[in-house]
Amino acid sequence: MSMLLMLIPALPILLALAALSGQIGRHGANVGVMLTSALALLVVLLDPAPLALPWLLLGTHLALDELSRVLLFCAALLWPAATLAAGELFAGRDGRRFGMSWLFTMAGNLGMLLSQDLASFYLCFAVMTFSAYGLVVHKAGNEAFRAGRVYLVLSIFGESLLLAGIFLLAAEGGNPAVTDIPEVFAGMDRPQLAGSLLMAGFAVKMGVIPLHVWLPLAHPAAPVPASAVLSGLLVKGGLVGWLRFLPDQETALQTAADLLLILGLTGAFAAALVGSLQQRPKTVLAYSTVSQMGLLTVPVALVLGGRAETQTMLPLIALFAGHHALAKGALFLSVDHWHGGRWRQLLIVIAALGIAGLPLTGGLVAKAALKSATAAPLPLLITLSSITTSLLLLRFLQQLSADPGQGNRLPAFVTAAWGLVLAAALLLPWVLADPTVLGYALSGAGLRDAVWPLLLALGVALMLRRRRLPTIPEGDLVAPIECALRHIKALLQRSIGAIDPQDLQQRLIASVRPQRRFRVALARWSMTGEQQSLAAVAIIAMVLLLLLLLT
Amino acid sequence: MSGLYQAMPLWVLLSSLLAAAVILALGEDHPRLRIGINLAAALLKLVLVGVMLLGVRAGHEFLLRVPLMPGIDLVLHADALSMLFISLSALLWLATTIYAIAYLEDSPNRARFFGFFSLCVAATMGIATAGNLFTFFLFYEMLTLSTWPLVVHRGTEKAMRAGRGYLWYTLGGSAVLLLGIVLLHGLAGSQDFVAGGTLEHLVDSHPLALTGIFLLLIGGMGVKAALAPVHGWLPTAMVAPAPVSALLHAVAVVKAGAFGIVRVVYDVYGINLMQDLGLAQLLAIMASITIIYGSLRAIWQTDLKRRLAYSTVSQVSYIALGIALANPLASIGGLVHLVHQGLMKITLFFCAGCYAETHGIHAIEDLDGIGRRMPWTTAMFTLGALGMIGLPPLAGFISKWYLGLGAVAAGQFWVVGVLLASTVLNAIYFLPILHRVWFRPPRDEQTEGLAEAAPGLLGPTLFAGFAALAAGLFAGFDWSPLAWVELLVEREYSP
Amino acid sequence: MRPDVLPVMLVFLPFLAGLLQFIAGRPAPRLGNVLVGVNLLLVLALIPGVADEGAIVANLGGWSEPLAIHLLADGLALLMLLLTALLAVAVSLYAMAAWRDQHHDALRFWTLWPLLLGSLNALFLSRDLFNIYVTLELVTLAAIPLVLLAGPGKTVDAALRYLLFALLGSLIYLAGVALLYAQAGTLDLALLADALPDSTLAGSLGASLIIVGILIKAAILPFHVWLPAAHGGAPAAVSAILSALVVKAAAYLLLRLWSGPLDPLVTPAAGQLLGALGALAILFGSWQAFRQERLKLVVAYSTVAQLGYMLLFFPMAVTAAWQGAVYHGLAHGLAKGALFLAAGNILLYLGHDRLREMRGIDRPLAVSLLAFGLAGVSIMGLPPSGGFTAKWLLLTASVETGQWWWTITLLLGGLLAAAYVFRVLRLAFLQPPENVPDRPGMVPPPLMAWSATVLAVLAIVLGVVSAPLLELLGSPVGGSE
Repeated sequence: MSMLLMLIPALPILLALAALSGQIGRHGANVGVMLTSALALLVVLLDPAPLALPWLLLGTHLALDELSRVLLFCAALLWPAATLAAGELFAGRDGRRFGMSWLFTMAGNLGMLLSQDLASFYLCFAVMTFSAYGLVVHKAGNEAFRAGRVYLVLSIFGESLLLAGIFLLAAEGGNPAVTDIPEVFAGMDRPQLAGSLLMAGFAVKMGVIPLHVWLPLAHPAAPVPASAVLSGLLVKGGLVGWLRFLPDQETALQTAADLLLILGLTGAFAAALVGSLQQRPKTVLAYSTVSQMGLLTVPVALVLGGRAETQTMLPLIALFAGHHALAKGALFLSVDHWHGGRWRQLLIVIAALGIAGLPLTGGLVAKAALKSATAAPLPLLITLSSITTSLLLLRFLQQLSADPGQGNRLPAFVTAAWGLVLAAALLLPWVLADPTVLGYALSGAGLRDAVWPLLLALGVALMLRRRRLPTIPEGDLVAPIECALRHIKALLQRSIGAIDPQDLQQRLIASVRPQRRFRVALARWSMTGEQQSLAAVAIIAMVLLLLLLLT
Repeated sequence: MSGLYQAMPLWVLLSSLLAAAVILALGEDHPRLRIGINLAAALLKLVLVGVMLLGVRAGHEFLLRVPLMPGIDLVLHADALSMLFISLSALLWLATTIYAIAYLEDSPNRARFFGFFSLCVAATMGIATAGNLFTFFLFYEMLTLSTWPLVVHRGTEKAMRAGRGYLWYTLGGSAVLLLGIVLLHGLAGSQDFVAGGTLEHLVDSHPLALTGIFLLLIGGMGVKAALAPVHGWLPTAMVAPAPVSALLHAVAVVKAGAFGIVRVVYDVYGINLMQDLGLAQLLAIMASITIIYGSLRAIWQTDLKRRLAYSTVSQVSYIALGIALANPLASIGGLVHLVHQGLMKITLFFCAGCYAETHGIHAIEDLDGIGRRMPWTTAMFTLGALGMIGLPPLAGFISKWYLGLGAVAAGQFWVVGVLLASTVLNAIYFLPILHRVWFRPPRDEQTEGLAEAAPGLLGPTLFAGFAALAAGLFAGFDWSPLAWVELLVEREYSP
Repeated sequence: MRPDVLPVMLVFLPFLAGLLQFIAGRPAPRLGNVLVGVNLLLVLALIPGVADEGAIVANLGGWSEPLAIHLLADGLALLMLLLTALLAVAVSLYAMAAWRDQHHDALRFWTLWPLLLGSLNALFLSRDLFNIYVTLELVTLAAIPLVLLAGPGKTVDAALRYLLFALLGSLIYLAGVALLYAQAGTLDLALLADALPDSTLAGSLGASLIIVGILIKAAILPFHVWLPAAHGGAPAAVSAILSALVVKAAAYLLLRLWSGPLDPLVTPAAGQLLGALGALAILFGSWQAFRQERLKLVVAYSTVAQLGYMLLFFPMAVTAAWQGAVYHGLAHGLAKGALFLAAGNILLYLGHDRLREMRGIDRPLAVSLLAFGLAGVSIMGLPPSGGFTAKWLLLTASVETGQWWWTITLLLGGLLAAAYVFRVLRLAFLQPPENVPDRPGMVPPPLMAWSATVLAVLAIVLGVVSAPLLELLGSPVGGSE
């Protein structure tokens, strides 16, 4: 039974190899992904015992935990829906490449959820990160390549930080399983260093500001289904990493955790505001993800810093993350569904405002849960964040409706899968949340708290509707940095001539070549000439010299 | 019978030496027979190596001693460290031979090529099983000489220049090495390789001499191991045919240098002595400089094989770095990289050869969109490149993992920085290639459709690529290179 | 057969064969080949005796001391005889193929060559200064006409210059011998050392003259001027003999005299001087070899360089240096023989030996190039080869005596040798030009190619059989240690 755990990441890898050999079309991909999802759902239901594979990598442990069980469930719904939506991308000239990137990303994503030891988690994390590059740049062209570049640079930055942290961790405990983490940290000389490195490394994936810049570039550049899984599932990798490989309630990490908390809150507001000024619907959604992940960072930072109980926070983190995964995935997919009729548009509006906390949606429950577990002034801030989130999502809806769209009809099963994800997003929190939270969400106070920010935002949006708003380039911080780098490069080229060390070396060698005159002199030496007389002199000299030495 | 068994290193050596002799004697006239002999010898060697592996694992040590000069013996001795190198070479020899047969199909002078190729492998076997410095030097020089004809095989002016550079560097290095060996011989007499070293008793009386000799030995071997600043021959030698590059970078030459450094550190000086003399730190610094320098240079190369060559310069120094850190974890990382780097780099060179042979592509900028036409080759290239960067689950990750752990355990945090910098630099020069091959549209949109490399080229490439993957993925497996190295290090550190 | 007959036969059989050939009046290569075969067997037969007893002495004519003419075969002599015998076989086989169609030249060769062989054998076996003078003259006189075999007018200048220097050397040597005889009253090598009075000017002058005379004959650096033209111009078989044996004989003599009769006269400073000459020869000769444009001149200058190694014994004068110097003589002899024979094959095929125009010769001349390559390994002093063993021994000696400057010379010399050897070897790998010009010459017959290869292989084998040979050689007789 436990071998199912192994099968879940293995199956997509086999599919990816099939894709590489060109043996898989869209149908093969669809069937394969659905099969994998079915397995994943089975695992979620059965919750099998952990699996240890000592021969794999550095000793692999696979298991489900509370968070990954929820996320695996979401993944099992979102991946097939996205795969079905990807459809034609699996065929055609670049289908081979897309299939590989897609399936490897999936393998990494699912494997990451299951792996409970440092090495294999890092493995899955890296597979996920680097395969996703293929999704980001799939459309090719300058925009995609720029997005891909920024994504890669930040990913590598993150991976390096992770690697450094991992070295520190593993030097203490070999290849520690998740259960050993607190012990490992307890035995370390500098838990702060290792902890901070890991925290920062995972923060890249979570899009914590200022490391979020890849998100608003990558999402609009990638194909729609890719954005869906990227935003819905991949960014959660950072969350899982934080919770698995950082010790909770560790006072040594409190400063770092507090910093994380502040960054998370700042991100929640700032990203929403910047996103509200964006032009393209997918960019807006990307900023929404940054904002939502900022909010999600708050409880995590509380747990890591020891400012909240792990037991109470973990379920609501899972709840919030699961809801966001499904809702954001569905919203990204809905970009292709907007022009499909009024019913669908209604569904999309509900889903979008659900994230902002529309009453009766899962989003409200998620936010309510978050508020219930935190101390002042956080609940207030969370309520306030609903205003900015609402603004952002209204902007999304506005831009979406203004978007001309492709207008091609999607097959029914694609729509059905999308609908399923949407429905799950609305319902999941109701299933997971505990009764007190549900009570609050349905109470008058809860509803009031949910409605007034929405109405306020609606008012502001209507007020600003006709105004010309300032624009902020996508990826906000990237533009000035790129500009600065260009200047530095130009400066270097002007001052040194070239940056390539080869040139410098050549110049150095050229300056020490033996002089020609010296060579000629040597050449003359061997020529035969007045050698006889020379020889006579030499003989006499030699005899005399020897005589001198011998006596 | 037991005598025959005891002489296993000799049989392994002879299996390729005789093959070389027969191939050279056959000449150009019997290509089928030559191929048959070549493959048969390679397979035979693999079987012999397998038998030896079983023996060594069971704790047996093969030893063969022939007096050569008064006071100096030719010693062939197979211990766990030898087996690590031998197994790698024997395995990759087979793969490279198959590859080379396909690569050089219908080109002139094949008998000469395969003859010297086998000779190279024979020399490598000798290096691996050498039981003292003298024997080591013997085969080390044999390697130098038998590699040269391969480097200049093409016979072009460029190849000749590369050959000249190769000779100057390696023969100069040998002279320095010889000096070191002679001086050591004068100081301590003829010493067999013994785990833990044999020079400890001299540390009080001749600390300076020992330091100087160490520098000479490492300097001499560093030439082949392409330590900066004596790495210059390697990038120019890439004009040779792809199988030769594979041989230089993965199977024999560079590895021989690195292996020699390992031998000197472990079995001549011993780790303790090296640390006492303060040489460990020096070696670590040298290796680190090479790692960074090689990677930096690689970034600016526009020729694929040149970039790979600079990458080797950088990667091989991981081995030296690992042993210089002088603790079990780092040693595991360094030694296992001996195998891992070989597997990954041979994959990359095989791929470069496939590109060159199938589509005539040498420059990196011409690789645009090649993934559409050669998906398997490109997939293997991707594996190799990601492995070099050190991403899991590839072999390079395992090496880096242990090196990193070792650095932390030794308290040398700057080494962690070097490793990270190297990772980033590797990413900087490999990822753009991956980007080109998969995501850029081809320059010439006319060239559509699959056009994979010939089976004889693709087969070994797939083998090497998957081996690089398997070495990492199944590192925990009992017979993996990692498991072998752990066994080896355990023996070295707990005598 | 008594062992002391062997040395006598070694001297007289070749002379007899040469005489027979002269009388026969038409070339009889078979006779020559039988002779060298027998010669080799005789030398091999000597080995057990020398190994057991250290030396075999034959007394010619039965006179007693001090008039007796002794032939003495000790380890050193035996090794030189062995080298000569091996080379003789290879060169004779080569010559048989090379001169098959040239009646006149063949007759001269097959007459002179046995004489030269006999003279060399006699030189190695002689044990008094005057006999040595006589044999040395015989060697020269047999060698110079051989140089002229290259063809009408081609090598006359070279041969004349050779003659001039050789005679000059002999005269100076003879003067030295006369001075010593006046001092000691004996010429016997064994007795001389004891008979010489301590440090007289005349004694020192005599020793100086002897040494300089030999230096001229051995073509050591400032006196090397005659060598390249003579060795480079002569036919391949002759060049091989001259380079491998004739100059080697002079160098051998210096080793023998220095460690024997001259031992009480020599000083470390003189040793350093000879060493310095050797070092200069190594560096200068190698550099010149590297710069030559013609193949045979490369090989000839290589001889100038290689002889220098044997001189490195004198400053160090320890057993390892002694062994190294002698071993170097052996290794160089075999390797240089192979080099010249191989070069002869290339010359035969191309009709010229200009390096610039050699391309595309690898296929027809594969075996010869193999010989060249293998011999080159030994010349460069790379393992496994006789040259390496010699270099190792010399290096060990330099470390042992702390004379690090020779260490550097040795290593540099090896590198320079590599430079000129590979300059030739690379030709085998250069792409042939687009339009291959017609080759005037013929592909050398297998016998010519393989005789070179056998010598080269022997030079390599020398590297792995050094233990018994060095044991045979022993230590320097009167050496300081």
